[in-house]
Amino acid sequence: MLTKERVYDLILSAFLIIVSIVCYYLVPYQVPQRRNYGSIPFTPDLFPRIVMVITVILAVFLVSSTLSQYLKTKSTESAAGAEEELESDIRLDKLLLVILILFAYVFCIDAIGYLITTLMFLAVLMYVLENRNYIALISTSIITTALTFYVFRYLMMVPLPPGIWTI
Amino acid sequence: MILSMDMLMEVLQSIMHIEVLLAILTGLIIGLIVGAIPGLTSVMAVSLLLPFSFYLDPLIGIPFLIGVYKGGITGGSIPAILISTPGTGAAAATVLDGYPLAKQGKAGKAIKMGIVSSIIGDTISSLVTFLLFAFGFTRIALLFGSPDMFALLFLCFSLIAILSEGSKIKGFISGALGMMLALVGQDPVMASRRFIFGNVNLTSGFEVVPLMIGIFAVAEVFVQLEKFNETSKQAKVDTSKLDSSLSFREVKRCSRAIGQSSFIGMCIGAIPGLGQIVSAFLSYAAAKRTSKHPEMFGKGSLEGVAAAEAGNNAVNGTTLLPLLTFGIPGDTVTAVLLGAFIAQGSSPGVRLLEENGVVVFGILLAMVITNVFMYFIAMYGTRYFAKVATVSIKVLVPIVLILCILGCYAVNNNVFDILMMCIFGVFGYFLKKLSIPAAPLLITFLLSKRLELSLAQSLQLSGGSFLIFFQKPISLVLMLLSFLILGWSIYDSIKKKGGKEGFKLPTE
Repeated sequence: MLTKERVYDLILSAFLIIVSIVCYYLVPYQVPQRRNYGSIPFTPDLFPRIVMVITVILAVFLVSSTLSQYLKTKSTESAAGAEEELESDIRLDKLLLVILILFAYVFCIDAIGYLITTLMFLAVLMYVLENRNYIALISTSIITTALTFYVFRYLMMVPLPPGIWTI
Repeated sequence: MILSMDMLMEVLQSIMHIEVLLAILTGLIIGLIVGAIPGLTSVMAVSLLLPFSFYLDPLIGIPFLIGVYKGGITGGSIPAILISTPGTGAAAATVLDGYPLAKQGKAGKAIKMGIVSSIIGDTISSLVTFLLFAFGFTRIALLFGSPDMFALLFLCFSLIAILSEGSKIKGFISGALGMMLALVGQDPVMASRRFIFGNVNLTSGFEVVPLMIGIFAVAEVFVQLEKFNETSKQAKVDTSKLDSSLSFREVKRCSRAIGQSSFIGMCIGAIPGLGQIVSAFLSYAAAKRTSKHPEMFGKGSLEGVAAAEAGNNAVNGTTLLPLLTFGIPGDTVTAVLLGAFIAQGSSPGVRLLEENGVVVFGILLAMVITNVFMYFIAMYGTRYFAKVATVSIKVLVPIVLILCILGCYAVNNNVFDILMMCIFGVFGYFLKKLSIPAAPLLITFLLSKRLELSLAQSLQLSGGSFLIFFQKPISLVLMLLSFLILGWSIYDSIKKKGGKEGFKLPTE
């Protein structure tokens, strides 16, 4: 029967096939053609092509194995049992928020600088994670930012992005 | 013999410095804490701390990382036993008998047995590795020409994909993905730029550290976030039950299981591509088969705990054999260690021991010392580490993410690396959702360029003929082995009509 996992696998195979075929045809554009290496026809585009072909073959294998699993259990398993996954417990909203905040951090850090960005990052993140103890929230953010800044800037001599304000 | 008496003296002197010992101690404690917190894995901790080790002396930085690693494995057994949640993948086999023991009120006994067997397995393995290197094991690399190197790498690629957890096909797909990622950058033969899409930051390809931290640390955080409702309820840990003591007699009774598992662990460690999880389960299965009380396994057999823990720790010593001889990492953590070695200028290979012998032997000895420290810390600090297992995700996530970001930035002072980390984090998250193991990806990513280079060199030597791989004994044997393994796995997948076996394990 068509479980969630099998659907994922089929999507994965389709994705892999598309990506490898696309990349295979991208090879002439992305790989500069040079003379052969020595006397043999080993060019920079040979290995990439081999890798793409292997990936396609593997994706096809995956499709066939998923389909054969599906066909084998089509009549035997009942639809009811396999759907017991507690979807409601998965907090995709929190996850997406955190991912967004993470990417936002990357884009802000060069402009605003390490100290302010990290401070905001930590505070916002803790808030999003339902930490309502504001004193702990703010103090942890400040302490962590200060500590990491000290360790990096003065102990390890790694300059952090200055942005608009830094020590 | 590579190791002379003078050298040995020098090694001992360089180790017995307070900084080295402090580094090991700190690493151990960090590792134990990280290992004890389910949701933080030792791979995560080691990859996070790797960039920090670049700034330290090799004899301080690398033992530090090793301390974290070992602490992590041992720490992982604590929540495995107490709340049946392995702190790291390697502790998965420990749950089988550890948790029943905890339910019988013998949690302390189980934890202490785990620690003792871990230490024994690890020490034996480290000493054997030390001796092998002392007697010139790395000279084997001299026998390897380009075709032999290619054959060895080809064998690794075949092995890695198969013996990792889950479905074989997905293991191979993971390997293929790693190879695809490795295509980006300059090709190893002529340094022409491939697949950089005009982005100058990608000229040397994807940087390993952001890739590792993204796929292993950040992705793990994302998976934990998914379960936000579950994990924000804190698990109750009853520390009163931790007092049950372990008698010497009980250890002696398990000595056969420990010895057997140590041997299995050492063999598995020496083969690249396998890892602690494989070793733990194989040792457990072997101990069950040869035990006088096999019916007790699964219901609270101390032997089971001993076998699992000795098995997964005995991998640590011998895993350095392929790493330092050929530069081939056996699993994710050794891949991280490889990065540490290279960054410190100790490139693996025959010359390693001749040029940097003191450092290498020092590190091996440090591993033995780590075990000594571990004994005292773990035995007497168990209750504190158990408390740690209940730290809330709300506090951990922000701090871990910041450390990840800093770790990535520290490598090249490039914000682009942080962006890469985020992207690989999302990528790694999808890998986990699709049940694609990540370890094969990392290893093929690291070895792909070398594979291509040795292929090119071999073909250059032979004038284009592929027969060269079957002419010399070493490459012939290795190639035949690879084909055997590949053939067997294809046959096996077809027979099972799915290939959804192997070890069904929690995330590493």
